[in-house]
Amino acid sequence: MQQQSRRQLLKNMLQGSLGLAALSSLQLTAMQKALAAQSAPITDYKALVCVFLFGGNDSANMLVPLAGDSLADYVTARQSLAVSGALPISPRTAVNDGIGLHPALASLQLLFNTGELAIVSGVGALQQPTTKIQVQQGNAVLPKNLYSHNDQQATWMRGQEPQSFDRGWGAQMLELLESSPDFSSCISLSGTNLWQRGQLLQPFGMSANGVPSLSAHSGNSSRALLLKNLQASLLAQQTHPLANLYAQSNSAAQARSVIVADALTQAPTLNTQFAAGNNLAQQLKMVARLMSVQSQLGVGRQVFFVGMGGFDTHDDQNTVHPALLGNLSAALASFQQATAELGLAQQVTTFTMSDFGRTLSSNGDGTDHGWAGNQLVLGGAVQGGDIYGQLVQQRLGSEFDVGGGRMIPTTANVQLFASLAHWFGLSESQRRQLFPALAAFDPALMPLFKPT
Amino acid sequence: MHIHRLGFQMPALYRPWWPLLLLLSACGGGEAATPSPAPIPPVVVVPNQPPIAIAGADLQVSAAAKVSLSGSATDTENGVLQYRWTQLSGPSVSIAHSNQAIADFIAPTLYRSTTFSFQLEVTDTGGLSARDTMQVLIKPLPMTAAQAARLLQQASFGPTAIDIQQATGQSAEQWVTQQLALPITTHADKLENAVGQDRPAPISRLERWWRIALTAPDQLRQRLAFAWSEIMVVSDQGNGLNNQPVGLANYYDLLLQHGSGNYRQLLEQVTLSPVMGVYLSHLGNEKPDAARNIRPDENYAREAMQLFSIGLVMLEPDGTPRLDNNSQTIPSYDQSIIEGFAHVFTGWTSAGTVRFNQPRPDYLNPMIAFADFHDTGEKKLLNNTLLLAGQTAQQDLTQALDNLAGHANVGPFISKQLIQRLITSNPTPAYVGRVSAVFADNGQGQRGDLAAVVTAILLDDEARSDEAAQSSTFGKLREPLLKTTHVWRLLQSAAPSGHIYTFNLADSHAQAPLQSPSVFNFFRPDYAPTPELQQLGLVAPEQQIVTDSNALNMQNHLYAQTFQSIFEAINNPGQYQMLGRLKPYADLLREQGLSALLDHYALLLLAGDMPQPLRQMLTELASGLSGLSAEQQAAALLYFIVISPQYAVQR
Repeated sequence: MQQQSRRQLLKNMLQGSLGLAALSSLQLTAMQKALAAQSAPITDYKALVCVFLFGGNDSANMLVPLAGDSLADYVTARQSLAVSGALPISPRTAVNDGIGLHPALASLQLLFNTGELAIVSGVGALQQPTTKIQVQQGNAVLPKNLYSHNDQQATWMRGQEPQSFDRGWGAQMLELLESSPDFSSCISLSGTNLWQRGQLLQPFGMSANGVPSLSAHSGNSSRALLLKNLQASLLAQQTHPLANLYAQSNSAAQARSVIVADALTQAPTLNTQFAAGNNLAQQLKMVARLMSVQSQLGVGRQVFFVGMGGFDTHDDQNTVHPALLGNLSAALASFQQATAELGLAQQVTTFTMSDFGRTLSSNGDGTDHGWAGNQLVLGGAVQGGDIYGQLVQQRLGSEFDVGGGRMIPTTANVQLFASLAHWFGLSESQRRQLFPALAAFDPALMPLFKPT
Repeated sequence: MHIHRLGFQMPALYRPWWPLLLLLSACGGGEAATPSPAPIPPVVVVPNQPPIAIAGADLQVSAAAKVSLSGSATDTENGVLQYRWTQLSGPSVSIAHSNQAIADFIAPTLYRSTTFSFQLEVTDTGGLSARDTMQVLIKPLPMTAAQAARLLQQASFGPTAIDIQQATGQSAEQWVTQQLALPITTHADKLENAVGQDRPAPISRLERWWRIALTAPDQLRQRLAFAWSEIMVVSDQGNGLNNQPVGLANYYDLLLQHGSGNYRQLLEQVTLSPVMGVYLSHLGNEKPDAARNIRPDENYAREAMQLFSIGLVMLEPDGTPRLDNNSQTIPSYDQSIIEGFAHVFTGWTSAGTVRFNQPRPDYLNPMIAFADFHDTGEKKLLNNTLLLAGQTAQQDLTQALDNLAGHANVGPFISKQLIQRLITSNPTPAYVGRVSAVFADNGQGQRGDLAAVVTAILLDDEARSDEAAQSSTFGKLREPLLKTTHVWRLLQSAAPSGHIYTFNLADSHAQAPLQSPSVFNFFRPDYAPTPELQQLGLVAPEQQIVTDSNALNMQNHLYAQTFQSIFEAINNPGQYQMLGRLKPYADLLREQGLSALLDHYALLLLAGDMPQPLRQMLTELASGLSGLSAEQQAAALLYFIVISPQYAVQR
C-alpha cells in the first residue's frame, strides 16, 4: 500500500521527464493546446511496438517474385543478390507471377498465413505523390536528404520534414491522447530516439537486461541514506543548460527506474521462448514483460521502441542479410506468441521502420541507399495475410526507378503511420496534425486493421 | 628600430628645394609654390632640417601589462616638436598620451604571442616630420593552477596534480607547443598478448588505449586522436573487423600521426586504410560491369562527404548554413557527385593481393590499386569539376581528394566538430570562423595544417578566457570514457594482474574506442533532445547515449571505481579489478582537514570552481561519514563530485 502510494507520488512528479518549472510559457501554451484536443479518457489498453531496422533494410528482397517476367526482371536487377527458394505466400490480393517471402522469413510465412502479418509494399518518405518525370526534371517536392541514413531515420521517426522543434510521432500520439501521459507509456529498449520524443515526453530508456539500481544507495546503511538524500539536492535544477540536462536526466532516471523495477518484480514468467543470442528477441522479451505489468504501471496506451542494426548491406549482403532477416523473423514470431500468451494479441501491434529501401541494382556484392521498401505490420488486430499498397516491381528502369533501382514510393510512409495512429485511437484531425503531408494523399485509410 | 626620415623618402628630384618652399610658405611669403626649378639665392635662409624620430627599442612584455612607448626625437633647430604614436599592426589597442614622446597602453589579454608594431611620428615647428617604428611582442600570461587545470580538461584525459603543477607558470601556448612537439606514443606495435593467448585480442586494443590515456606524455595528441576517432569513424562492431585489434589500433595510430599533420594527408591515409576499406566497403569496390549489371559501391563516397569532410549543406566560413533566396539550406552535393566519387574509389584492395577478387588479409598497409578494376571514365566531382577519362586509380584518387579537401566547407565543418569534441558543444560562429580561417591558411599560405588548427582551437579567447568560461552556453558534457580516464588518472588505478581489462564498456559507458554502432558515431554533433535546449538553440551531443539505464550504469561505474575499489582497503581484489590509490587524498584530509581536501578536489575536478552549495553538500557528506576511514571519506567525496552536474559539464 505504502509502496503503491510512493509510486503514485513519483509518477505525479514525473509526467514526462521534465519538471513543470523547466517549461516556458510557450511550451505550456503548446501543451494546453494539445490537451484541449484530447479525446475521451482512455479506458482500454493498446500498445504499438516500433521495430527499427537501422541501416536501411533491403526490404524489397523480403518479397520475391516466383515466376514469369517479374522473376526475370528481378534476376536481371538483382544479379548475384537474387534470392532463390522463396517461401510462397498467397495474399488475398492476387499477385501476378506469384510472390514469396525471403527463405530466412519462415516464421513470418506462418504469421502471414494465419492472417496476423500484413505487408505494406512500396512505402517510403514522400512529401506528395511523385513521378519519375518530376524527379528527372528537378521539380519534385522531395523529402530533404533522401538516401542519408540519419536524416531519413529522423524523417520516419518525425512523420514529417525537419522542424525547428524536432519531435517524434510515437510520443506525440500519447500526448494527443492523454493530458499528461505517464513516462512508462513511452519505453525504449534501443536507446534515445526521436520517435519517442514528444513535447514533454522523453523515452524511458532501458536495456533488455532490465533496470539497474544505484549501488551507492543500496542497503539501509546510514551512508546509503545520506548519499541518497544528498543526491536529491545535488541533482536539483541548475542554471547552466547542459548541467541542468544532466541533473534532470539523472534524477529522472533514478526515480523512473525505481518504478519500472518495482513493477517488473510482478511480471509473470513467460512460457514463450525467445532465442538467447538474438538481441532483438531479447528486447522484445522485455517489451512483453513490461506489457504484462501495464496495469501495475497504470498506463492505457504504450509505445515501445526496439531496434536492430547491421542492415546497411553495402557488401557481403548474401551472408549478412539472411542472418539479419532470420533474427528478425524469429524475434517477431516469439513476440507475437508472447502477446497471445499474455492475452494481449488483439491489443498489441508491431511494425517495422527503416532508414530507406535499397537499390535494386547490385554493386557486386551488396546494395546502396535507396528509397521505397516494404514494411511489416503484425498483431491480432491486423488484417493480415495481404500485401497493401502497390507491390514493388523489381524492374530496373521502370517508371518508378529514378536510377540504379532507387524506387519512388507509391505509398507515403505517413499513410502507413495514419493507419497505425487510427488504430491507436487518434482522430482524423489529430492524424493530420501529426502528419501534415497526409493532405497531399488519398484520404482513405489503408485498411490494415480488422473492422471493429 | 626602423628609421625613416620623411625628407629622405621624397623623390630625389624634389629633395633640394622642397623643404625651402614649405618654409617660405610658412613664413607668409605669399608666393605661389610653383615647382619651378628656378635657382635659389644661396645665403638668404638656412633650410630647416627635419627632426629625427626615435621610437625606442623593441619590447617584450606580458599580456595585460602596462606598456610604455618611450619615444624621443632630436631636431637640428631644437624647436618644439609634436609627437604622434599610432598602431600599425596587431589587435587594436588604445594608446594613452599618444601625442607625447612617452605614451603607453595596456597590453590586451591574449593567449598567443603576438607582435604589435607602433609608429612614432615627430613633426617640428617647420612642419617637417620624421617617423620611426618599433615592435612590441606581447606574450601570454603564465597560467594559474586553475587555468592550467582548465586547459588540461580540454586537452588531456583529465588533469592530475602533477600535470597541473607542471603546466602552472607556463602559458597555454607554451604548453600546447611542447605537447605538439612530443613524440607520438603508438598503439598498434605495443598491444600485449591477451592472457592465455599468443596474440592480442580486442580487449588488448582497449587495454593499450587505456594505458596510453592514463600514462602517455603526449596527452594532447592522444586526446585529439580520440576526437578524430569520433569523426572519421571506424568500428569493430558488427562487421569483419571484430577480431582485428592490431588493424584497428593501426588505424588509430594513423589518426594520431596525421591528426595533427595535414588534413589532405589525413584524408588520403584514411581513404587508403584497409580497415576503413572494410568498414565502408570500398576495399574490393570494382568498376561497372555491364555483363554482371553491377555498378560501384557508393558507401565510402557518400559517408566521406557527409561525415569526414563537407557535410550535407553548404556552409559559411563560420560554420552556419548558407541559405538560398528562400531561406533554405543548399545541398553540398547530389547523387551524381556521389556516383562520381564512387567511381573514383574503384580498383582498390588490400596490399599484397594477387587476384583482385581474393583480397589478401592485410589490415595494416595502405590499399593498392588494380588497373583492371578501376573505372577509367569521366567522373563528376564537387565544384563543377570533371575528372578526365583515362586516368589511373592513383591519379583519380589524388585529384578527387584534392577536390574534396579543397572544398570550402571542410574548414568550418571540421573545425566546428573538433571544437565540439575538445572545448564546447556550442561555439559561437565567430570562434568557428577564426579557426576555419586558420584551416584555410595557417599564416604561411598552407591549407589544412591541423597542428595550427588545434592550436587555434585551444588558444582562442573563447576557449581560454575566464569570462567566456562563465557563459551559460559554454562547455560540453563530458563523455563517459573521459570521466573514467580522469578518475583513474587521479587515483593511479591499476589491477593486481597489471592488465587493464575493461569488459562490457557498452553497458557501463555506452561507448568504447572504435566501437561505435555505426559510422555516425555514438552521438551526432547536432543532438538537442529537450524543448529547453531547442528553444535556446543549443546542442548536447554527448547526451544522445544517455538513456535512463546508461545514466545509472555510469553512476554505478563511478561508484565502483572510487568507493568500492580503494586500494588501501581491499583485501582480496579480483585480478582485473582496478584499484585506486586514495592515500594521497586521505593524507591531505588527515593532515590538513576537509577544507584542504575540497580545495584540492576543486582544482583537480572543477578547475578550481566549486560552487558553495556543492561544497556545502560535500561538507555535510563528510560529517555524515566521519566514522569511516579517511580513504573511504576521500573516495566518497570524490564519487559525489564526479556524479555532480558541475563535473558533468567541462567548462
